[in-house]
Amino acid sequence: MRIPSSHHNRRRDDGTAMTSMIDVVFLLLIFFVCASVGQVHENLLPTKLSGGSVTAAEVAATERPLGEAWVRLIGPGDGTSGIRVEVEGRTFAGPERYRELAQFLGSLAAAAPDLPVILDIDPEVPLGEALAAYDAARVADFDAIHFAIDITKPDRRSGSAARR
Amino acid sequence: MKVPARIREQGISLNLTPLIDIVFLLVIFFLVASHVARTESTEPVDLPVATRGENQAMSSPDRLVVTVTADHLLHVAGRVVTLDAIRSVLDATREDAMGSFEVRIRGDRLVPFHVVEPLMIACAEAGVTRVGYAVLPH
Repeated sequence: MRIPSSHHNRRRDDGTAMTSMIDVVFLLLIFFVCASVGQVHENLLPTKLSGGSVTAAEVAATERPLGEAWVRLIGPGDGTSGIRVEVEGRTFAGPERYRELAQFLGSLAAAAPDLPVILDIDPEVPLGEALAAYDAARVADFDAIHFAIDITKPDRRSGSAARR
Repeated sequence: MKVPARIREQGISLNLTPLIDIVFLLVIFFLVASHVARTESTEPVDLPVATRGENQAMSSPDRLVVTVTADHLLHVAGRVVTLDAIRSVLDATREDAMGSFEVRIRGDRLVPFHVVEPLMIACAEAGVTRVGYAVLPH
């Protein structure tokens, strides 16, 4: 007569525990797969603000100091249909304007990498265009990239130029 | 020969403790996951494209995600908020670890810059120096 041993019982219990674990693992796997469906991978374009310096020194538009590269984004209007980029007397307006801007800024950065770049963006310029100009300045490997604020706007609480 | 009747005496026993442990673990996990998904609710926006975007895994976990939709509305955690509400949140965070706090702006690429500009000013006024824009890789 065969006597049941405890060894066989132990093997049967181990198999039962493994089945539960596989169930849970598959449940988690299905959850993560369902949660990740439709998710678009987003990157982050970081900016370094100068905290609390919103009330920094006011800079007159007609007296731009030397040693700064002002990049101006001009929105559609005044007879033009697209976005124009003006920097150091040059204008980029074609479909490849940001690639050309990056090349031009790259030549500036090669000569003076510490030169601060200030983005002067018209209010009606779309955010995508503004970030494209910011991205072009980052591609050119400038260290300091700032945004200019129009102090004449009524909703400005500080009333002066800001460096970001 | 005497056959030990030990197994038959025990009968079928079901240990519910691991089952309850796992069920509670799953409940907590789904609760936390849904909470995170709700606080980082991502309204559909057409994000700008950039070549120098960084991986989001490098960013701070202590952050405020502000979504600016194409209709010029500000969204935080799935709710439409005003700029003053965001200012109050930033001011409340000022006492906390402001150095590691980060504001992430998910703006539609067609939103005019004057919609986003006050948000950046509010961050600067509140002392938040880490601001990032969500972009799509080029």
